[in-house]
Amino acid sequence: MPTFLTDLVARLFTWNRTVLSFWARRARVVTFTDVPWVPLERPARECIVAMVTTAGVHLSSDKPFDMSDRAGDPSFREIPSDVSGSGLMVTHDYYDHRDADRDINVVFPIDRLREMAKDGEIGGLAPVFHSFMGHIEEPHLPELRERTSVEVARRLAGEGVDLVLLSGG
Amino acid sequence: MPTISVTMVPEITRKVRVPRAVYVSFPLGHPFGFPGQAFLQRRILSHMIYHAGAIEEPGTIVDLGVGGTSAAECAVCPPVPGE
Repeated sequence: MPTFLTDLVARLFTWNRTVLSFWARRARVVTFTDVPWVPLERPARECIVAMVTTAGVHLSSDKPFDMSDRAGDPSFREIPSDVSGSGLMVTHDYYDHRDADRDINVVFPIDRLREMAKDGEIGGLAPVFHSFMGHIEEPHLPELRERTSVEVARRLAGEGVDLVLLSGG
Repeated sequence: MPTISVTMVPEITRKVRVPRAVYVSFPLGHPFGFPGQAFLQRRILSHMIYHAGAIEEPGTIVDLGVGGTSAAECAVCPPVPGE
């Protein structure tokens, strides 16, 4: 359960675009010198699609992300792509996820992706999607950069994924 | 492997230098709109998948022109090119 102040800040950043933009322009984030460009090789209707989120989504039966550590939690959770959205929940203290609590597809449209695969708009879904909790600072950045994100990338490559959709909270 | 992001904060997305992204001006925590808006959620996904193939310049962020701070404000779902 977030503190009153954490919850207040989360709601302010969520609902006040001026505050969010002010912070975003000044935020110090991990930057890169190049862009990791890989072209899409096949039409969408043939693609095996995976989703990766940083919105703190996980199975309701799974261990929540650790909110007690103010530097965040660099671990990830696996979400089978055949799970109904009603079996998922959000653990994330740094944005207002009341709407995502009502309908997980607001941050993680797993039900919509299944519909698109069924309708032939995409070739299919990877068997497992992955989720992080996006508030991660030092000293956890090396763990994220060198281990957990690398592990997710390795798993996606092993599943023959053609396209990864990335979204945050 | 190819990736495409959906962002609500393009200022951050530009700094991180993702390969490609679409921008929606919804509030944080609402990349796919609001609860119960299955058509909009699917429409944003369709745009992501379309632009994953259409974007040719690395680092491009396409503004989908959709947003708002409530379900009532979001009344327009932009068509996916080629529909």
